[in-house]
Amino acid sequence: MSSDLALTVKARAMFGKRLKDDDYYQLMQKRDIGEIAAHLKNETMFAEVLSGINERAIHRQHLESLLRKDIYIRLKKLMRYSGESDISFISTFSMKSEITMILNCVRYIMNPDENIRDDMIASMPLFSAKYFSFDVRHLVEINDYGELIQFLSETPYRSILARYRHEKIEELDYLSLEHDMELLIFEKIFEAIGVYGKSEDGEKMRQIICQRAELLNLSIIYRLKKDFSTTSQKIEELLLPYQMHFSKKQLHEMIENSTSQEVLEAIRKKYRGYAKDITFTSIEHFIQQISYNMYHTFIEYETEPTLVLMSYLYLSDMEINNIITIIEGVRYKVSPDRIAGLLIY
Amino acid sequence: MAIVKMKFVSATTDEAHVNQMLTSGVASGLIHCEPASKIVNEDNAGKLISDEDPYAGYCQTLSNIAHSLNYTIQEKKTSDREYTCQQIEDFIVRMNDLFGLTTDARKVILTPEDQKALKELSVLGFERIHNCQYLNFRFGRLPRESFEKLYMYRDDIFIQHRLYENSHYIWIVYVTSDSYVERTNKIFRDLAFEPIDIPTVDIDRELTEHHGEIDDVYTYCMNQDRLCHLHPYAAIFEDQYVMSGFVQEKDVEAYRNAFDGLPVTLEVKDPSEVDLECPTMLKNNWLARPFEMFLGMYGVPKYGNFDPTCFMAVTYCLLFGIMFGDLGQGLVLTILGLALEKKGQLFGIIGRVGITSMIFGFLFGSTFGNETLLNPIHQKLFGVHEKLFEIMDSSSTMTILIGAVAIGAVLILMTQLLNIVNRFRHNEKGEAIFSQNGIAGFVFYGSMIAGIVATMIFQINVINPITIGLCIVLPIICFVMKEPLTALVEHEPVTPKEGWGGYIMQSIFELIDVLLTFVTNSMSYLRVGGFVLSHAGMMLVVTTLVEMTGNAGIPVMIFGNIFVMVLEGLIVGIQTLRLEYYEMFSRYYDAGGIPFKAMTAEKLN
Repeated sequence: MSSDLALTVKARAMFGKRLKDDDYYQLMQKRDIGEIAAHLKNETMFAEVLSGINERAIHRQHLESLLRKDIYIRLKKLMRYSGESDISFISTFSMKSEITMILNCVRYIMNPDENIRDDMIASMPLFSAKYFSFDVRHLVEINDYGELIQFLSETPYRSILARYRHEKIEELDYLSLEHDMELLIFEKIFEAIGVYGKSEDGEKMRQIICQRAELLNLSIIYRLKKDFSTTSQKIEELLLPYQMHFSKKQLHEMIENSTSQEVLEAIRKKYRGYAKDITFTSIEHFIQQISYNMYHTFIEYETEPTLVLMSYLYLSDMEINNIITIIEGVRYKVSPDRIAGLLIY
Repeated sequence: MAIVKMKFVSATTDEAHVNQMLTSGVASGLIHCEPASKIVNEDNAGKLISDEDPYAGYCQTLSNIAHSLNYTIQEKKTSDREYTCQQIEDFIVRMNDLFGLTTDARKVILTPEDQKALKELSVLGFERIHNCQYLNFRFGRLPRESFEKLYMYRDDIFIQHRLYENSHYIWIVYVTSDSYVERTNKIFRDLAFEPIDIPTVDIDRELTEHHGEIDDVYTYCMNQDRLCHLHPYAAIFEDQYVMSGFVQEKDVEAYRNAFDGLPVTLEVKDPSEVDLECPTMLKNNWLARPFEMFLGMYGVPKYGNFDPTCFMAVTYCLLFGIMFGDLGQGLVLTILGLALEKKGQLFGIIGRVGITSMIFGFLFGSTFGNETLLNPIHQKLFGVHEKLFEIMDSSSTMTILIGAVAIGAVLILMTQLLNIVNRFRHNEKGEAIFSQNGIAGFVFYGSMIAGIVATMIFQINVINPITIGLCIVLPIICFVMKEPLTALVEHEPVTPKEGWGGYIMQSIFELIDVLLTFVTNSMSYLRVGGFVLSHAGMMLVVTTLVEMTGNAGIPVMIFGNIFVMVLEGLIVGIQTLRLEYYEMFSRYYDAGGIPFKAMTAEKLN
């Protein structure tokens, strides 16, 4: 737990400098990436990470990479106010990137194509490598699944990877591996929350993480029911074992009997506090917007520093995703109205 | 202490030599040129030279080209050859093509760092790079993080070379064969490589070859542009080109010699013979010369009028010295002013007023605010008990204030006398005799002052019907009847234009204003006494602070003196200038002259 409330105050102050309606509107009106970069560099809190760039000639990927790097700069600023126990929680934040890189490596091992390897190198987030539990650079040297397990033997990923070891690598159950990795993140988060014990704060944080997992489960159910003819058993296998507003039985009945529209109505009903004004465009956008509203409420009203820090990091991540959506939209000449429908804020 | 004598000169030549005549005339740096538009009129059937000036545009374009190439044009004295407008335009087009300059606003402009990297790459030779048939070169910026990743690619399908770097980017060139170009380009694209076109020519090398030509064309254009700026000073009279203006009388021969070797005839006239206002050039002695700046701010006198610089210098120094009387501070002002005199006329003024500050500072017995340091010298020199004059003594206050008004009264009387002399010199008898600043005003104000002095100091009653009639009533009648009386002495119709009733009414109101002005002008000099007290008061504060601060006394004293010198020096300087402009100049000085400005090639630029 953080030693005092300075972190809460600092995170709220930083959140106050987020991109607002007017910023998003101006960004969507830009004609190219250079103009977006110039606006971000000169008018927003991304000025620090973008200082020194040549905005007239900046490469899209470089801009995106710098924006993603900014979240680590923000994290670094907040870390100065954080306590010992926050470190384990913060380390869970970089697990998502670690898992992405490990799964990239697994895909290359399954299909040793140079293009996959090139993409893996290109997408490697070296700026956050120091927060990783292993040397990410070494992944490009690995050609064999056993070698990968050996390399990650000191990390929590080893046991999951070992579980899916198969004599014929092409028969590896990649989907289940991905699911177990996702599950690992939640396990680690709950582990980090464990230091709070049975306190009110601990219970509140557990509920929040459960809500996040439940929303992910609901989006999986909706998507698989609407676009795929996945069996009920397979859907249940892909779900995370956490519930908040829906009991196991309710989820089971939903998977068995409900249509995708009924799933959506059920979400609206259970999460009415956060979902009442959201216009549905896609399930991913809908769920993200509910999460945004949740975190926005936490950062404004909660006092527990770790909860505020967690909310701020997720909100920052969403803000950066919004900018990347705008960059893509401007790049492919999508109208500002359509881009606006994809933003989450 | 005078206005320099001038001559009007007209240089005449034919069409073939007009440019040389104009250039030589201006190059002499002696002539105050009069525009031809002032010379020609319907009566003399003169014409102006009417031509367009395309050279300014050419110069700008050449400057822009040089700026794009990061090159500084070296302008020469003269160009090696002459160019027609077509040749200059062709040259500009050729340079634009050669260096690939474009007006496309979307084109990315290279940063100085891009250019440094490009300079490193130029070692390979840009033409050679472009001539390679089987090798592909690409140049650009790579984010530092991406550069680290280059070593993760196992296959040797490309080689890269680091050219330049900063904290964000590394500029590289990479080379690959035709077989791998597609994949290599994709790798670099994915690594956020920002490509920069490799130029087809080596700008530095081409610039080395062509800079002489650029300099020459630019020099020619600049010279032609200057000539075009001189054309408005040449008038045309029947195929003859005339350049006219004023030169100092002593410089006429030197000006004539400036046209040696040219078929130029020079006609010299007295300024009174031409229908143009002659410019004024002041010539003053060492003391008064810097004060020409203050006079210039008010306006120089017309040619042939009285130059008040010397009178202004003396009165300014006197008043400043009284108000800022401190031996030490005056010494500092003198040293600073005289040392920096070459930096500007203001320093010259500071140096001179510093001298009078020292004199009055000595008389007041004040040195850097210390009021006792000079007491022994005063006692020895003047035989006084303590010091000659104790400003801070309460009994001195009235003496100082009355003395200030007395100085003001003397200065007002002096300015009236100056006005009387000037008016008589210009044959303005009415103004000289009947105006408030003429004899009538002098008698009125002088007798009032004399009356006050005689009655209050010498206890002599001078008020009787004769003195009242002669010294008060008669001058007042002169003030009221100034216009008819002036008309009378100048043999013009006496009846006022607005009629007697209207005139008398207007004159009575003006009389009230005149009488009030005498009072307010005299009171205005009270500020002189006020600033004597103010200066002493401020220095008393400084010395008190010095005593209070103990060991820090010396720095406090230094900063205190600097503070007072800057603050009060500025205020006293401005107040003295105000007295000069409003209380003195308004009585005797009419500006309205044109300052003499010799034209030079530099001024034309």
